[in-house]
Amino acid sequence: MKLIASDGWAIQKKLGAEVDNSARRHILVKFWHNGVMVIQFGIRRGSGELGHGHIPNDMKISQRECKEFRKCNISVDQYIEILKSKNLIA
Amino acid sequence: MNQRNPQLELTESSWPSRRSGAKWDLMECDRPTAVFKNPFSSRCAGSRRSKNVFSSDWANLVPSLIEKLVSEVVEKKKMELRFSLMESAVSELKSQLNVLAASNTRIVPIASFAPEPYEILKPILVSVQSVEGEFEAGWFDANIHTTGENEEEAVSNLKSLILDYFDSFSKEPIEKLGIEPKRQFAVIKTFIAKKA
Repeated sequence: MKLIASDGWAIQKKLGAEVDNSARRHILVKFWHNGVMVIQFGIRRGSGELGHGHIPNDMKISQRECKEFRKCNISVDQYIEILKSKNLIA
Repeated sequence: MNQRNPQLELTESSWPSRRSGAKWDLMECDRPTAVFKNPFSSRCAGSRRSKNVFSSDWANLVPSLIEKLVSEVVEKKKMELRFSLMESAVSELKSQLNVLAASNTRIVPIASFAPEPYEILKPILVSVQSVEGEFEAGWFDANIHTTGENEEEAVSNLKSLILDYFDSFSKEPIEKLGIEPKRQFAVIKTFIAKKA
């Protein structure tokens, strides 16, 4: 299962991430935690069913973890714990 | 016609000569040699039939011959094993080459953001690869990636996204950037600067 734009939007919604429409060809999704921007990724405008396989890289997790997060087998709190274990959240 | 082959002469001289009257005996045939001799070879067979006598120590030679035979078989099996390992290694390499050829990864330099008002301080090397019929472009140092329907579009989208990241980070106070955004911004700033 490849990740597409709609997966990106589902992830944005689940994270409760900010949507920045001021960018050029992409819409930037910014995830803030405790007032600090932790990660951000771009979703191409009008990309429909085109692949967004880079989202796991942007989220600093593996493809498998990203798909599990998308399927709700990993919660936001668990995702934050993963980032903490990688020293990406202080 | 009187010319003689010196190699043939040498070989003949090392054999007991029939012309000189010496007889071949079983002792000659059965003498242990470096190379295993077929006991039914024509040279020995004649004398064996005629006398049917074996050298007294023939039984002593059997274990060493068996040992030699076993070691030759072991060597052959080792060679077969080596060949089959090499075969599987070659086939593995072939499949890896096919994957590389299919992914068609290329490194592309970004040398300009014109007409955008940004200057490049040093060339940015990005990778472009085919993924499931699309193209993914990425700048690994800054962990920025995007896709496109062809190579040119993927790189063009990446250039646009790099500037979006630059602008996005630039408008936040540095203390609002987390560990990864701070690192990404630091990398980007070593390659890009906004024109005054």
